[in-house]
Amino acid sequence: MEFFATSLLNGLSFGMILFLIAAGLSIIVGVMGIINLSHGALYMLGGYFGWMIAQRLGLNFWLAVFIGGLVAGLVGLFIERAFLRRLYKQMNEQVLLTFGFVYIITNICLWVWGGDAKVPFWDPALSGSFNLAGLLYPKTRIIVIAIGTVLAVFLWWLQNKTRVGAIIRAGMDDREMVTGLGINLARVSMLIFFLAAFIAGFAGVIGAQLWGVYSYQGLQTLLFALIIIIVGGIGSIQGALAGALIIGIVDAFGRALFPQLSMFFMFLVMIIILIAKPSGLLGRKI
Amino acid sequence: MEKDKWEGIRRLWQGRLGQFAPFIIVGLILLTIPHFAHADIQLMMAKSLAFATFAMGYNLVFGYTGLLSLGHGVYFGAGGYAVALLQYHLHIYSFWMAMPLAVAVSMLLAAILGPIVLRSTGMYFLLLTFAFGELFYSIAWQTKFMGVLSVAGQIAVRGIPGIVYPDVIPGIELTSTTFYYFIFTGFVICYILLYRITNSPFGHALVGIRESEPRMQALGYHTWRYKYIALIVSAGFSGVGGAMFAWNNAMIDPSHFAVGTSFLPMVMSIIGGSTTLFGPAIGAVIVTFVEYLASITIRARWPLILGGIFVVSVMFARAGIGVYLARLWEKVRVRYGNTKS
Amino acid sequence: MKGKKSLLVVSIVCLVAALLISGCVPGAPPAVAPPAEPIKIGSLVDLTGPIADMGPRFKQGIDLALETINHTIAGRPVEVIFEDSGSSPTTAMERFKKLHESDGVNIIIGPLMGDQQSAVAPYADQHKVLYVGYINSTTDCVADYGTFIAYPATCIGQQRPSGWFLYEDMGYRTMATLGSDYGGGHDYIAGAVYGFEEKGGKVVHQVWAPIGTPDFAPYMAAMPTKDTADVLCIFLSSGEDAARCLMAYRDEKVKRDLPPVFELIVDVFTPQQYKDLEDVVVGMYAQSTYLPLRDDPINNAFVAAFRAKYGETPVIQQNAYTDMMLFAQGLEITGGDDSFDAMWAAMTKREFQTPQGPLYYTSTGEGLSNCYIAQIQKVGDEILPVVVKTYERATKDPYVPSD
Repeated sequence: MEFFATSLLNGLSFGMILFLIAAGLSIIVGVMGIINLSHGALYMLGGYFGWMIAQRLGLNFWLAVFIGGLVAGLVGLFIERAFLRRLYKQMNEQVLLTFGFVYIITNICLWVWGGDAKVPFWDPALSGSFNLAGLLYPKTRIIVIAIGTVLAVFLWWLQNKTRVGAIIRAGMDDREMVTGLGINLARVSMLIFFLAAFIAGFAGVIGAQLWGVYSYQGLQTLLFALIIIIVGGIGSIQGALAGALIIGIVDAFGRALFPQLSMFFMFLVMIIILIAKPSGLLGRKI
Repeated sequence: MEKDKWEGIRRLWQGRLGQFAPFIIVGLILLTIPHFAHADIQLMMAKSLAFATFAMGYNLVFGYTGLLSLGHGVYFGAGGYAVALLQYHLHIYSFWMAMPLAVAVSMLLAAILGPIVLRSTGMYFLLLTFAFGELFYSIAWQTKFMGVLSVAGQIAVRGIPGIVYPDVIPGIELTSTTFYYFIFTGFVICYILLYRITNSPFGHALVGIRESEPRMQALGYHTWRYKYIALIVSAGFSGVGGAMFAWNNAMIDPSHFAVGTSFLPMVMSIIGGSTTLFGPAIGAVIVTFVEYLASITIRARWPLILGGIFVVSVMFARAGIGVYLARLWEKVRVRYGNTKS
Repeated sequence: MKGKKSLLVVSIVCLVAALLISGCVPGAPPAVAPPAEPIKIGSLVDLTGPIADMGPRFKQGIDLALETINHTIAGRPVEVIFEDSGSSPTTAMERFKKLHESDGVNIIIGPLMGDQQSAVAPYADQHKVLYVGYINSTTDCVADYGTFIAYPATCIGQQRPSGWFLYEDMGYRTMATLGSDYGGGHDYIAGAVYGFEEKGGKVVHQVWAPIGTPDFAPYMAAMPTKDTADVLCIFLSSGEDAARCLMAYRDEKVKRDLPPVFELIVDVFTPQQYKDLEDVVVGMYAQSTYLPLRDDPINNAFVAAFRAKYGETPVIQQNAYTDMMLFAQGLEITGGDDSFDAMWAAMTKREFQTPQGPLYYTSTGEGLSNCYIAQIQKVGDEILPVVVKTYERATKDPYVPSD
């Protein structure tokens, strides 16, 4: 019973980090139609800046989280304004451009911070474990689950209950009509892109509590993010959440019970879902 | 009198000779440099030709048919592993057995995966092909058959090292230089074959599908069949590239199935120009050599250069460097041929 | 005018391309270098890719060695050419070829990873290029090919005494293992298991974690408790994996009585990572290939020199330093002759004194060296492994034929 509960919580916490990574990408890809492969690199960049603030400068952890998000958001915004904006609907070029940025950002991080991986770090107040009805579980992981849940609710509200969300969804379906209605789609796009990039960097520092930060993360988290949006479906927060939790839980139980087949499980789930439902579990058709 | 002499030459220049001149020049360069170059440059030139074959085959699906695949590593890797496993487990080194097998296996895989991946388009096609690439990667990683076992029975090396040059003519062993010419010949043959394919009605139909699939369907084409065949053919060429790569690299490993390899022919096609046949080949040479030269000169910073080139080429040479060079050549020809273009 | 400009551009491009390519094509290397010619040694280090943290450290070690010998061997200047092996066997193979054929190098330090070593082994064997490992040394490269020198021993050999220690000194009878899922990982664990089993111990649980595993919690959730396994033997290929693993271990240990950890190749940790993991590692026993605190004149001199130059205590940098010094000594013996046959005769069936301890090379290139068992302790301001037991010349690989 203890094993089951622990594994479930392991899966949820792992899944929540995956959700934080994938949420931003899912919005950008599904709603704005932009493939941004540098999303994982933004995660990593946020993580490194967060590390610098929290560990190097010894400042407050939550400030580090915010700075990480801010830096990633600004860099993401720069990439969008200076480059991606001119590549509207050109998928090939977007892929090549953003992959180029993965190389660039990864190498700069390697240059500045070196190849040594940064060991996981967190708010000192969160050291130790909570006692959940007899089960002792690390505080940092519970916080990750909590933050992920709050963010999921917020993003869902943004997507479905606000004007901004409606504009974006409409803009994806019919750009001309939306601009014809006098709505400044470009400005809204900018805002959403910044938000998505901010979440990536924010996730980088939150995730650092469990994973630390290292130069390989740019590609690794991209891989995770792609797997999740495949499974959960593109373009919706609920899709990213569903995909992330499924993968997280399958991975946690899979690794514990059949460790030799760890990565294989993830890919298998991915393929099965793609065959059964090509647009993912909860995706919108594009 | 003088005018007549120049007239004749000028007409030649404007005509077929002028058109083929770039090929002749490039061909001469490709043929002579290896003679003077050291084995590592030969290695890189052979590598770029292997990737050129891979990229040209890939471009049949990507540039011509308009399908963004991120999973051609499956076919490339299949060709490489076919060659490797034949040598490692069955000790068969003959080119005449290895190459057909490489092509057969990769085309068979495309025939099997085709119905699955072609169910989706656009973004989902991208993701699905990517997914299969990673799946094959993880299978190759864990399968004992596809690796070298240690004395303790565990997998010591993922993938097969120690691949040697194939036996082409019994009794004659290939050297670094002769192997290069062998690859070059293979590349030329593939180029000619692809030229035939892309300039045939089939090839034109693919372009039509890229432009507007509904229109083609309205005209009575079974577009799904065309896409399927294109996938299988492109897989075959990818398998050839994979076999060439395996011999040249002396090793094949699971990463050659995955996105890190699948991504390369796409990059090469875009940089070189995905609307032409030779574009991906030019892209292959550019990417291979930039990566190598940058890595030697700037060592740890070369990914920065490569990434920078991707960004620059997307923003400033949108149609592809190959196309840009082709247009340049046309201008030269027109100017010196004095034709009214 | 436009056409002329295009022609100019085309010509310049061709010219530049030709220059670049020819720039990489120096004259053919002479068979034996004339006296004033520098001795060239190559080195493959990972400067990019997942194990990019190792490359710069090895370079530090080699640079210090060059300084120590004043960049001179047998009266000739020495030059080390570094190439990036990019954490990949393909890249390692390409650069290996480049070093040998373009740069005329016959002696190469590196590559690090087992699959890189296996990739270059057939070529090195055929072209008679002498090469040495940094710490990971694949048994097959030693046993099946003839130009590889294992430093300081094969992976399996390095860990065999660990198994003895766990059985005889700690009294453990059952073992669980957690290893990185790659050739080297399997070999290191196999060595400890071999030593443990040959004394009578039993392995009850084995787990292999892919390199770069983000989350070790699931593995810990499934780990047996002290009732089932007396000790948990861990080897992870990088400090970052090892650090994350120990954190997951700590989290799980709060709930269940997990067995104590014995870490193989604790050298992968950096001083900073020890500090970050203070509460978990202090008191832990581990196998270490090299211990900076070992009191020995050669070692003390090396550590002092390293601290003076770089301001930190060396760990894995020693391996690269010693590799370079080994070749330097070999070249002194051959009088500067870097041909394979001369070097092999000079370096095998000979004992060398290194900061790590005495090192004896057999005729197959297998290293027999000391295996150190350490305990992580707090020494002043630093947290470092301290020797508690030494097995001398004990790293014999059971799968490699003896002299």
